[in-house]
Amino acid sequence: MISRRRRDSGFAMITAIFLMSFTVMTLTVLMATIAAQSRRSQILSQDAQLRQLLTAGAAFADAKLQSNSSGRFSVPLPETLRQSSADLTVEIQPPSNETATAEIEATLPHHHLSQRLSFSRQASSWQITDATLD
Amino acid sequence: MRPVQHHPGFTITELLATLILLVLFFAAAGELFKSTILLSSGSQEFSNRASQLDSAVFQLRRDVWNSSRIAASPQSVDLSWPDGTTTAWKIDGGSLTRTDARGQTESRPAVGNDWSFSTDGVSLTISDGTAAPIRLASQILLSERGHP
Repeated sequence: MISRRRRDSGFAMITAIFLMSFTVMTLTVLMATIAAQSRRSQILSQDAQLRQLLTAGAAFADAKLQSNSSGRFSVPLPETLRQSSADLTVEIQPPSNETATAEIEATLPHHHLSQRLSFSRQASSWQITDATLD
Repeated sequence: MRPVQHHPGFTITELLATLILLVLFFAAAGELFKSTILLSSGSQEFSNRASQLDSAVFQLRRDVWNSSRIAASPQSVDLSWPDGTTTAWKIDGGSLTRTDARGQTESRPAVGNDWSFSTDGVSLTISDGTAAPIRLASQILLSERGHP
């Protein structure tokens, strides 16, 4: 009688372990997928923010060049971006008569993006002639 | 005369109940196993597809970023660069194909099947009919718009 009860307990235990293993495997795969997609969404969101900053930096560099300014500038950002430790710097090389270049770098914590802009003078204003995303 | 021996056993009701429980258990276990396998392979496939999609959009964004002219039709887009060269993207036969200025072709199968291109002159919009459209802007064309 005792030995039969032990066999029953063993069977129940094995079946329970099988079911729990399947459940754990499913949950693990599910959690890994959710975590990966969450990371991907966060990275894409930060990328979009950085590209917006680069576009703002291009407009800033353009405005500075129109007023014949050069050098390294830190572009003032809205409060919400400053709170998330965002930074945007524009470095304009001293322009020649016809061409100028600007390096723009946008930074968020653990993530940054930069671009190099080439300008040429057309009539009385500077125009972007090349934009390379790094 | 030998006495009748009584062997311990189960009633038919007990056996039936046990069988029903076993069938239910194996059905549940089978479904759980199937779900685990399907989820695992589906997750891998989804991850690969997302990776291919991100890679295609990344490359297309870089091309558009430096383009000085965007000409789009629903299934193709021609991007002219400041040096006078052109890069073409085309959705053809269920794959997305990029042909650069040197004529080198790079094909991405199973990407862009449901895409359609359009442009407003300064940016390229990719619509897939379900999610929000993706808008890729050109820095050069944006700048030109700022200096009419």
